[in-house]
Amino acid sequence: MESGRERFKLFLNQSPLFRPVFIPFIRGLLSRIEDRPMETLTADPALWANSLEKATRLFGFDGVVAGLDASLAARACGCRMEWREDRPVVLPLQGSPDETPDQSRPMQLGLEVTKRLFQICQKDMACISALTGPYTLAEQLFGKAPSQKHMDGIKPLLVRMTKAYCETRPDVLMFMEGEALTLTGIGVQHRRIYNTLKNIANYYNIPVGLYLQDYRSDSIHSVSSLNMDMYIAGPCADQHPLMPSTVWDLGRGTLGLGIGLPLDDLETAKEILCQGAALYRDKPGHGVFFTSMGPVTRENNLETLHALVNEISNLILKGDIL
Amino acid sequence: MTMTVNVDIGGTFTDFYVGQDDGTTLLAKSPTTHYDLSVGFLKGIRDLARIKGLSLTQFLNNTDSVRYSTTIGTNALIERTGPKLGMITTAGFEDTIFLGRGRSWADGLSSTVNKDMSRIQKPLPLISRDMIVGVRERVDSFGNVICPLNKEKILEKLQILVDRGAMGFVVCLLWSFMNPEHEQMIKTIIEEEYPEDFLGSMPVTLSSDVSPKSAEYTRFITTTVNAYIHGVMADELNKLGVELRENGYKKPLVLVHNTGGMKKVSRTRAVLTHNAGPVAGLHGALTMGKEYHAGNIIFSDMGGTSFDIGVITGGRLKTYDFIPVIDRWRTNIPAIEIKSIGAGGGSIAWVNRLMENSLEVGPRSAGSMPGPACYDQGGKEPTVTDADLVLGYLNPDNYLGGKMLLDPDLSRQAIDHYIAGPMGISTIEAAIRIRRIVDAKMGQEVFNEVSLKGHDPRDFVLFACGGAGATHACGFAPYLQVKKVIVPSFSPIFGAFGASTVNCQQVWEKSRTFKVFQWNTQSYCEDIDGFNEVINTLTDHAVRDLKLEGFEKDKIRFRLELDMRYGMQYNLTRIISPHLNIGTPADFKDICDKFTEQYAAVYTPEATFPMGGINVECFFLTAYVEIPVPGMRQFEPGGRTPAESARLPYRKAYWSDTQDFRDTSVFAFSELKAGNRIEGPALVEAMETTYVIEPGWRFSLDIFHNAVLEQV
Repeated sequence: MESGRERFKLFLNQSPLFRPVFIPFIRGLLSRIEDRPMETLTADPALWANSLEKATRLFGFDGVVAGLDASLAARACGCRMEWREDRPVVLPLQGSPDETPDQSRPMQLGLEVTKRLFQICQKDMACISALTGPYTLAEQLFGKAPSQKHMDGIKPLLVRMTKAYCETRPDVLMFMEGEALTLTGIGVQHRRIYNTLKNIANYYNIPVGLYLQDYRSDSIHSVSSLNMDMYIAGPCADQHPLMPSTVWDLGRGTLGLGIGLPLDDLETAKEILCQGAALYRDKPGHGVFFTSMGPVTRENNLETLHALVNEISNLILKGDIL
Repeated sequence: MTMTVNVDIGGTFTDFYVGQDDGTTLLAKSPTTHYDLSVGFLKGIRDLARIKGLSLTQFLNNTDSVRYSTTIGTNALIERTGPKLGMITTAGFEDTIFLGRGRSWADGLSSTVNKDMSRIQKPLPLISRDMIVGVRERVDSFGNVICPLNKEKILEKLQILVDRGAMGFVVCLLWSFMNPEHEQMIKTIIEEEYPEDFLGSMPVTLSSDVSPKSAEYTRFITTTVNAYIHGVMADELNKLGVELRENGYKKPLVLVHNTGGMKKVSRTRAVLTHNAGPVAGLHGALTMGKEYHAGNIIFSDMGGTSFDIGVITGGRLKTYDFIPVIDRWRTNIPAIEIKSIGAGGGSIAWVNRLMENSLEVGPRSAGSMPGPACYDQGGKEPTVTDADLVLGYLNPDNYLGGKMLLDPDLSRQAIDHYIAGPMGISTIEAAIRIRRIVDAKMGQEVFNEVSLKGHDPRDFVLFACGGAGATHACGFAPYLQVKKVIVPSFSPIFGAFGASTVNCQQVWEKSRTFKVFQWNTQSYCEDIDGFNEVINTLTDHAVRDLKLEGFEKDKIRFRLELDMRYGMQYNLTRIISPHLNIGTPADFKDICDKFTEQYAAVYTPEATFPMGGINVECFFLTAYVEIPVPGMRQFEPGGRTPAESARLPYRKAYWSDTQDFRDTSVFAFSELKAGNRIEGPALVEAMETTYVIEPGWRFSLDIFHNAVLEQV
């Protein structure tokens, strides 16, 4: 049987998939499995990397996502952070951002986790690195609607962090953006900053994905002009699950689409899966993979998660070709 | 259909040239991935497979051989990623590599840095002083053992090195090239103590194997450099071999050598891979020059990082570099001479504040990461490519066939911020000056290289190669006053093309002195057997080696070269011996005549000094098997005027005759036919390069689809 990594490679090579790839974003779940607060877990790179691997193997997911910490890039740039209810909260930046975020302690820690994780997982699992996108990072650093000057200042910082993450050699580098990206519509400036980041990743031969959350569902198609290698649709602003048919065209000309599954609603998840499979068969042209709608937290029902993994595996038994 | 894939790794781009059974070719270029060269390598192969409409596996399945010129070894030296080595030498000679030779502390530095005596630093040694031990032994200059080795003492010294963390041994004893017995004994002792089935097994490199030549410093350094890069290269090449095999390649990987030959990885000494890419390019120029009946060729290759120059005279590659420097180390490998300066498309322009804000270009390069500012990979500093883009010569939407989109705004910002602003000139003026400086630097360097060797550049054909060669040929050629400039259609990947033309070859060398002519008795050497014995020993080695490469003995060809000098003189002159073996003393006369002729050509006939007698000092036996190179493909002529389909929309470009931008004719190279002529100013866009035809120049496409540039 093919490994998760082989399956994901088929997706990246746009070869036929015989079973969907499922790579949920695990975060809070780790603290439940390890029975330790996230604050403790994330302070120790070995523990963090091992628990990510352990959780992924426990549920039989196809890959791991490293760097799934929305506060990491902001902290690397000099923001302080507080833990509230075991969740990191970024505090506004005092002064100007650190010019060498890739050398900062939080980023070094994050990179160390990524390296360790990929070292142990790269044999049989897909390895994805996540990094906060420029618009969300600018919002974290400078507040809502940052100026063009702020964006110009953000670019060299992200260039450094992107290079650092590319050097860990992930299969995909994913930028995480919230509503800040689509707030003013996608324009030339958005394309310029993303072009630079794509060029860097291209040098390392790494496809670039864009993970979107908290967006208005009517604005999601506007991101297609960024010409990313793949788009991953997370939860939209109203938290309703997005049906594959509504975003399918966003994948045109890309390697494929990532679609979030609601982990607490098995029936809807099944519906999304079936629709995704049908679209893959009926409207070929790009691949598809499934992820979680937002990070898997400690509150998620583990039984539902197991059931979902079974459901995805069963698509083979049913003879579905996805 | 089978294919030969030839790969040349440069400082900025990795080039690919594929020769196919039916005579057609495929070209590709991918950025050099310095963090892991195999990534760029496989990316290029994937691109080729895509062009061919095959999967990677299908493509590699059909590949007959992969020839590779690599910089892995050089990188290991620069980055100091080699293992900790221990050296065992003759007692009393432990400081040989630190003493060096004359100005050896300046070896490998550019002439500018060389002059800055107050700041110049000796390079950090590859082996620290505490890792060198001396053993009591002595072989005299005739190869006789004067003081035998003591095994107990060697074991004692060996233990010292192991305790200090040695991960490999270099054995360099005095006069070992005359008698390697002691070096071999030490190797046996080490292998007995640390056998291969032990984890502590360590590689042993003998100077008598790697460099059996006189002169301790260069022999010790050559052996050390080889041992230092050996492990790193072996690991990297094994990894690459595994990746290729996993993807369907079934043959061994072949490495191109700096001697102008190639061998399988398993039969290659690491030190022979240094600078192999430019040497392959020079070999390509030699092969292509034959089609033009051109015996005198100046080969130039302007890439992203460096500008390489090689000279071919009389249709032969006979200019050997007697002191090839690898990184900062003076070696004695029999490499073909190639001169490199830091001038390429990626060379960074900067304002030298110590020289009253004068503008300089290079030697620093932006490389492939971050690359020129217009690559939009985070690079801030302006480069030659940025200047070419601002002046309208490069099409931002069709760079590398459209694979890389350039951003002219970033080029302008970079030139403005770093050059125009501080110098108080306009952005355009700054771009013009950057271009002129780099052209002048290259033109002057080529002129020096040719004329200082006693040649008149006007007797030569200039080959302008490299990704930026076609863009700058009209700029630097006037410094040479050559009549004809040829820009081969493969010019952007010429090193890779050159790799496809090299033979399977190795040079075997041995230092041995023979007085072949005595002035006072007017007699020639009588030790014919002794002389032939040296040649026969080298021949035996060569035959054994090439048989292991899979060739029959009757396919092997030999060429004997000799380093010779007049008695009491220091400098050596290398000749091609008219005889492979000596039959009678009269054969020595032929050798001496050849030497006199060669010496007179280099130093003038008046300088010959037969009164000192004539010595042979070193033997070089080149053993090679000719690999058939398909002739260049010829194309149907298509008249003088380019077809309308070759015309692209006009573009504004800057030209020096009117000192302004004007609408300029642009042509698509792929649509041009043999015989087409284009008068400058004009631009011709090819997949991997852009031809800039300056006013007063004519571009014509010959039957091989090579561009010929002439001043009219």
